[in-house]
Amino acid sequence: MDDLSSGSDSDYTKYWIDWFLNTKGNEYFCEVDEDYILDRFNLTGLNSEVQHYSQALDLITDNLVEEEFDEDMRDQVEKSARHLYGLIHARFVITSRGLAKMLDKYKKAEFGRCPRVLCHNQPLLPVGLSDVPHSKTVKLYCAKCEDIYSPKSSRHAAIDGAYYGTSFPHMLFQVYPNLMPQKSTERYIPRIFGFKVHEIAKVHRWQDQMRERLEEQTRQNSKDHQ
Amino acid sequence: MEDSDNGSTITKSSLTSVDSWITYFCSLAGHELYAEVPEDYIEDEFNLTGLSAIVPYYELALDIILNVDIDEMVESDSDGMSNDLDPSDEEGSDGLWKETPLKVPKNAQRPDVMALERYAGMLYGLIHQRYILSRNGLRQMAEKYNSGHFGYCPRVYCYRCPVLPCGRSDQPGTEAVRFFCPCCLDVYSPQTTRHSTIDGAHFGSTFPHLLLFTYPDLAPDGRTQIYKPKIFGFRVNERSVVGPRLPWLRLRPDDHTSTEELSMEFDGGGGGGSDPRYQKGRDDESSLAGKLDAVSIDRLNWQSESHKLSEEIARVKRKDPSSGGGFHIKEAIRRWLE
Repeated sequence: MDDLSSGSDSDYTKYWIDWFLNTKGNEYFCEVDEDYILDRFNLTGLNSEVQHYSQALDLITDNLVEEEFDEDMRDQVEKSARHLYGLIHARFVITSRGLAKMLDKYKKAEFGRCPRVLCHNQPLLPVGLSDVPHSKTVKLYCAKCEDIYSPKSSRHAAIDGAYYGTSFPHMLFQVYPNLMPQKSTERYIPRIFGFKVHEIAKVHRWQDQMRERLEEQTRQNSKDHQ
Repeated sequence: MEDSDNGSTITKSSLTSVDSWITYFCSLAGHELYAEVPEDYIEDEFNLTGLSAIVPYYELALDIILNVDIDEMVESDSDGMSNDLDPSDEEGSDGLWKETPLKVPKNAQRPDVMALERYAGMLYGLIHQRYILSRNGLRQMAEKYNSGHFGYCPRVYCYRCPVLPCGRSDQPGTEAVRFFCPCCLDVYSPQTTRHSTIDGAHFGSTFPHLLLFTYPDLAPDGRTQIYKPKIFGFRVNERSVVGPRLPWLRLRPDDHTSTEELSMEFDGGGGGGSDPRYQKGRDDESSLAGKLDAVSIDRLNWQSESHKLSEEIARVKRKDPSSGGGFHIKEAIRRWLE
């Protein structure tokens, strides 16, 4: 029994990526294929982005001889490795392999569900607001209301948005357009003792005007296109 | 005078309610959303009209809320119950509607303390729904709102706007509490599981809107950014099958301009000609831009200054919409240029 548990422990330490994905707070990441990482072409430009690049890459691919470094250095390499993995992840998730992997996670609603009541628990997708690392944390995109929300848990709210990139969710729906949820024009209507609030009703009427104009435009455009 | 009166009643009631059931109930995890209802509000039977028809074991639940001694309760229990169900109640039938308490089968066992607690919570919630619509209740909740007790909007572009608890229904037991964001005018599910067990009817569908109606200063200005889906920096086109369809959902007319004016702006100014009033105002603004170029802009932070100016213009327009604003806007521009 003891042997078995220690065996699985060493499994985790054997594969850095497995250990990383199983760490709490990293649930939003998917597993990047080893082939993808080993292809140097996919990592173009990252060496200037990440400190201790080659050691970090060795750590990710489990080729690092950790005994060569002291405690301090090991911590730094560890940090760089996480950063590097995030940046590779951002590139990987918009490839067809990556999209398929993320799609699986999306179908299981592993990124959470939309907090908006009228979205009726629509699953979310992670998205960054910037492709530059260390600028914005990750947000969650709801395809039903086309809006972005902050993650519920503070662990997820601390992840860098650049590890997912600004394009990922939209790329996913370009590739799998049939997964786009049905849009609804339902809106929450505030009421005081059953009566609509005048100011808000005015805003809603204005929004309806905007919607009709947009629909008209889209119809016109598609006609021109044909 | 009135204010100080109200203040003293609140402090008095909070003093007397130390260790009361209400304090205990409001201190439970997740119950920080509730305001403490003063006991004198509950003691006034007028405020409880109709509730005995909704809440089972109404009398007992009310006794729990008002801290009537448990032993006393047990003794007076059987009498009280039989009195309630006495058919002689119907003697004074004057043709008016009478409230009939929820029927409890005769000789039924008194429910255990846990169940009674639940009914007390339900009754308190329903009283709470009424109380927070009263003047004192609104003020109490406005204070809580101001200090961010209810949490913040999960939507990114609301920039942590404080939210207000509400229900989508006034009937108990239909749906958990929801949060209304006055910035995007939308409702959200609770972010923590602690709040997802609270009944939305304890706050009611009217409360957040009445609060913002009563305290208009608390409402944020609705201007907000809209998320634009982009792939490699290029906006996803509306013509795409999966292109954006709902940008209007978060769109709000600009606060500085009236609704009609804005819809004209979206027309590309085409409709603006029909109303010379707005046309004039717009001319003033465009000539203003010319003047600004002349002014040594390098000294000014252009964005913040022009924002200030447009605010000034909006203020003048709002103050005196009848005069067409032309003259006053010139006045405002002159004042700003000085």
